Amino acid sequence: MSRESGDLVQAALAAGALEAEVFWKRGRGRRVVLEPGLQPGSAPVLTVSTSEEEGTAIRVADGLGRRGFAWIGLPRGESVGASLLEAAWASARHDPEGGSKRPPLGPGPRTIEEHKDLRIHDPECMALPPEKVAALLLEAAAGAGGDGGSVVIDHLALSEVEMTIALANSRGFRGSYTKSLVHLSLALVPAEAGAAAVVEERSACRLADLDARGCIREALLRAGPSRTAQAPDADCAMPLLLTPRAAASFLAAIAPWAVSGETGIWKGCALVIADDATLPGRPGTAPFDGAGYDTRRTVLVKDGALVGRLSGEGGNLVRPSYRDLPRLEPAGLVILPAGGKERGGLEDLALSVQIVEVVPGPTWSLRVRRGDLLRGGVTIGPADGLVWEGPLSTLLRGVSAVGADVEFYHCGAPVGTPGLRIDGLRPLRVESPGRSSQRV
Amino acid sequence: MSIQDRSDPRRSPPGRSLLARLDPVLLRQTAAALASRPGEYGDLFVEEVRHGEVSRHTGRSRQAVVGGWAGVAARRIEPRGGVRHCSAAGCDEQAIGALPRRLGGEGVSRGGAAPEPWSLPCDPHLLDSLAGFLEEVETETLRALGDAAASSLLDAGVSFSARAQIRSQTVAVATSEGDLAEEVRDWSAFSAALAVHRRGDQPLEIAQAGGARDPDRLRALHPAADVARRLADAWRETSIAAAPPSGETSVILAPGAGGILFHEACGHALEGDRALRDRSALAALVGEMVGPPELTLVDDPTLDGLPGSRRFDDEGWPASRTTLIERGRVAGLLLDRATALRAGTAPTGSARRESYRDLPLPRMTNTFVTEATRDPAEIVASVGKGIYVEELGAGRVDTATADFTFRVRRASLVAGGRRVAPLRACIVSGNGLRALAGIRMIGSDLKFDAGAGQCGKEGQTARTSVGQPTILIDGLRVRPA
Repeated sequence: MSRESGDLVQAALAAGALEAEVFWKRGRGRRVVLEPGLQPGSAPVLTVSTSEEEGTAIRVADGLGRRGFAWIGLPRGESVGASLLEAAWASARHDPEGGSKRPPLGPGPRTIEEHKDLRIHDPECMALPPEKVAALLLEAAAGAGGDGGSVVIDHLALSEVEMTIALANSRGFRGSYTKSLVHLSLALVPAEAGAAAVVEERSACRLADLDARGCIREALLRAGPSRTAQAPDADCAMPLLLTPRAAASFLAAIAPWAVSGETGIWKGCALVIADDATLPGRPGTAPFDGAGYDTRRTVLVKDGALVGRLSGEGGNLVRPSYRDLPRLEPAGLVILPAGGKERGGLEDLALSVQIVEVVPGPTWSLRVRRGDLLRGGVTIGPADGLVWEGPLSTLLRGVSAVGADVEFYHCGAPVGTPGLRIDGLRPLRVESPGRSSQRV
Repeated sequence: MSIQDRSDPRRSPPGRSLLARLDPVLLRQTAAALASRPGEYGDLFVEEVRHGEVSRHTGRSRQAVVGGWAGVAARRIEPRGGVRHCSAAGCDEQAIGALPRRLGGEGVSRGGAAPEPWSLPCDPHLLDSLAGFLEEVETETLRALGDAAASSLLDAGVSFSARAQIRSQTVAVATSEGDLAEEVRDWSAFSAALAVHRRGDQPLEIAQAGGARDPDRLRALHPAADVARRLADAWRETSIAAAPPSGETSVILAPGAGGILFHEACGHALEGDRALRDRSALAALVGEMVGPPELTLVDDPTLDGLPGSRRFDDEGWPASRTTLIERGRVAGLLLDRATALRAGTAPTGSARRESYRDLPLPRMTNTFVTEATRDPAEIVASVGKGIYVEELGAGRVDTATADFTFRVRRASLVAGGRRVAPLRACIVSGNGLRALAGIRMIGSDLKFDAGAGQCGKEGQTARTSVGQPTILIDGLRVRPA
């Protein structure tokens, strides 16, 4: 597959390019969606959408060293190659820089065709008939149990994609791989006051790694009617346990600070945060990145400091489509597990939180959507609606223990986290579901 | 709907007509083959897109991207609402004829004429024109700021960035009901921004944007000197801006500046897919008064020269004006075929899809509050204390509860019936239903946004525009950003 890309690279060189890189992607996908029936009580409506897509992108440096980028979303063919080159020259004319000081378009001679250890391809992807997929989805929804009718399913969707990517450049790199992606999305809407509309998602490379029941269980937990907490003692710092799902929301919210190079806030923080495109079976995993560099684990935060950054030649270039230029972006953020258990010292905990809502900003807020107040490790009442506000650095410094087992979620992007214990926080107020607040 | 032909190749520029290259009989036969059982509906969507984009960043780089795609999609809607959809890259006749088979039907065979070679994705002259425009905006901005060179800006930590793009789209839709329609939809848009990042603070960014049907009109409607002057004025205002008030206050939306609030809080709530599945507080009030009798909100894709303008929607249904709120009363929903089936009524021509790869969704096009009679100056003069919003930024709306939050990029303090001082960025929030009920005055000065608006829904992006005359709303919450 990388041979055809290599041929186009050679054509670009023959036409006068100093450098060239060709990225080709072909994919087929299917999305099965279940929605409520047209009439109350009628059978769910099934939508099945299948797609086939193919596209090629070329990056060139023309004879003056000017860089150009062009793409075409059509099946490969002679006319596509010629049009691409013509478009790439037109693009390069708008680059005023030229010259040879820029980094090369990609790595040097290497061939990557094997990736067995990464578990990124699932032969079962799209193998089941859609009606069978719909039946399995309904079964999983029923098996996860209801919440007494406070919410109803708005839609339940399973997307499956199988793609083949081939990359070749004029420095001799040739690589290709086939990968599958599966994505489960469940949207719930309130059927009674106090419940919340939520979307809970999971993504993986293989169907077997998609925890459908866990997804449905978490969605019901998030959406169910809020149980307002009693106002706690204002002077009481409450040791706080974030379950892995709650920690995932937290990680998704702090991700920009870990990636952008914001240094000041990490002092005293016990978290180790990495971007990892080598974890088997994870959606961001690939044998090489969007420019052909080997993927790897990049530790971003450790020992209370920013220790690493995403870099152009460090395997951190992401390229979701042939229409995109390679760009620096996390492939999969993970809070690395500690050796111990996050539940160590459970008897000391005052609060266990399953779900948090995090509002980032100069003044952070962290609100418990679902949690329990504990005494001596025993639940004594709800903690829903408790809110902390303050500088992010205070929150990060409070992380005192990190769990041993990483769980994976999809919070806008794939993230992996163990549970976290945070100490030293004093709740600011209790907010009811309607957001009227009681200061403590 | 009667069988008709809305295709008019004369309207498509040379080389842009799909119907000049594809056999209309094949398209009709294929669409018919998609709906073989009683009560079924089928449609065929063929699309060709050419894309060009240029960007520049002071002191860093300039870049151009040229691209394009062609693709086809077939869809069948079953009587009980089930949908089957398939799509494929390329649009040669053999691929089109084979689509019904992928949905479990009979294919339509063709003689197998070879597809025409794909030509250059984007006219290089259009790219040149956009690149020239951005260069002019940068030069004029530096001049308006009093800087002779970009380097002095960079020394002060300020960056200038600009981006412009053109999307030239030709769509053809054939339906199992016999309709065949073709349209060329082009849109060019730009954005230009000055930004500074100060350690410990949120980045400060001032932006201007605009759009038009083609690069020539873009330059005529948004002269570079005007864009630069507005950028520089807004930039200077930031250094003298006062802290915004905190708490409930009266908010005046400048004409064209607050349309996004109605788009997000009312328009999305009245899109059929949300409205008919109990995800919308506003839709539960169809027929009821939610605002003053002067308030009328419409969505109109038939207006000429706006980003959402079109002759028919992405299901081939004729575009038409839909009244969403009429004289204060919730009046209608935006419906595509699937949601119209659910509602038991006719579509409103509101189906939009980002590309052939996507399923149509009921969506807004050009959404605006119609003019009323109040003199805008009289509206400002009536406010003892409040804020005058000149530019609203990004926001969030929960259509289920109608709660909303928007960032105010540019505003001024109103005191004693006068605008007295520019304000720093702030957040305005409230509940959509209470905000509608709190509308006290509507002006006579309807204005649309600059034409660079995009709306995202379920992963699909669509060009939209919003508009409104000066509007005074009481009781919105304001706090510093």
